[in-house]
Amino acid sequence: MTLGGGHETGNWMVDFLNSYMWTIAGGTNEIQRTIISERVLKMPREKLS
Amino acid sequence: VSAQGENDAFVAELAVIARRFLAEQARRRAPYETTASQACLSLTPKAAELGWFLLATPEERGGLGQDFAALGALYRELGRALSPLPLMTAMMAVHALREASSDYANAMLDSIGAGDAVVGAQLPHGGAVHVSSAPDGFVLDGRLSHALLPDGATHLLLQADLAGEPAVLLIVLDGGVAIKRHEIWDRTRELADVVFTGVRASAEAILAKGEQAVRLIADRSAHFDLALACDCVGGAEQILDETVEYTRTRRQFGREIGSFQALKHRCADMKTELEAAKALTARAASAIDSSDRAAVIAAGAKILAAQTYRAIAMDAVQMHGGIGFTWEHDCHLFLKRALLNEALGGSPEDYKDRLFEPMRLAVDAARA
Repeated sequence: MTLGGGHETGNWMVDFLNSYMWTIAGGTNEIQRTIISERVLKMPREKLS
Repeated sequence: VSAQGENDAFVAELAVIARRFLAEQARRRAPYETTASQACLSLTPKAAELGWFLLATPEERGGLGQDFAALGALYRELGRALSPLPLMTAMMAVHALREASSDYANAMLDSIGAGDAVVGAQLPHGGAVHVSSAPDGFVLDGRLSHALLPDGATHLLLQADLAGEPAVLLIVLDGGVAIKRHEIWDRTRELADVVFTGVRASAEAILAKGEQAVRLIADRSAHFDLALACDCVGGAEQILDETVEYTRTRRQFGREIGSFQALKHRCADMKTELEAAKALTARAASAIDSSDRAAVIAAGAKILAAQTYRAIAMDAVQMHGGIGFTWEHDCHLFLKRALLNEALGGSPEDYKDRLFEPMRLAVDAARA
């Protein structure tokens, strides 16, 4: 059985190693956190310096 | 509109009314200025007028015949308001009373519904009591540890051993029992040890025994876990909202602190964890009346929601800075309720220990 939107191969070693890639691809985890805080929680944008 | 759609609308409206009612009628600090039960003296009759204590009573017995969705919405709002209202113990009693048809059961449903009877309840796994036959009824011996027992409770819901078989009882508290109250940090709930030494109970106080009692005890345990999970979700939502609002208004270094990435990412993590807890709690609520795995899912929701609430409440104290550590600020009220919720019914580790065996059996059964 594969999970995760069809991105998994079913070979758990490959999936485990790929899981690191998914913290970056499609927007890093940090960018996702920024998006959640600004779009969902309506926190202010960082001041441009 | 379908029946399901009508019911969803009823539940949504109930939540809106509850939130408004609790914001207007209940002050968060009230249990800390007096006691939880004192704070409920004015609250309970108004909640009864709104029909809250009749929600789970069948329509043919004068109630509103609602399933867990309605109760869950209320538990969530009570959690959001840090309310001392002992609705959960009353509803656990109603669930047991629904299965009994005696005059006593009918009278109790009416009395709870009117807000007259105040019900305490044994915690799941909270002590052991034996029932033995006596000429004009039954006699109870044993001890409950940390029962949820409002000061001035008129009735107590408990399970007991009746000649080797489990039984569920709702007894009248009329002075025959020894009650030792615990002083606890969270003042919104009241806990007590209850000691029975040859305490008399009428035959009608026994609501169920044997197989029926086994099922009722499992149902009550699931109800308890899910009620606490809902309470945690409501409280966590509220304190996260207040924390985010604080970071939007509090300024340092010439800007709102909520613009700092360190705080934004922390809030985003809290929100993500909260959504996971909400999702599992919603899943457990939809399974409670239908699935044979309801108890396992409810226990899982309790573990996750309680850990999430505690983590968010602790983070909230930090993110408020110095003011978050003061008595005057409300952060600690949430943290105290979160810590008690996590401890009630057992620690997450206790829960996982208890969950292991049924999960192993389910896996074995699937393999066979």
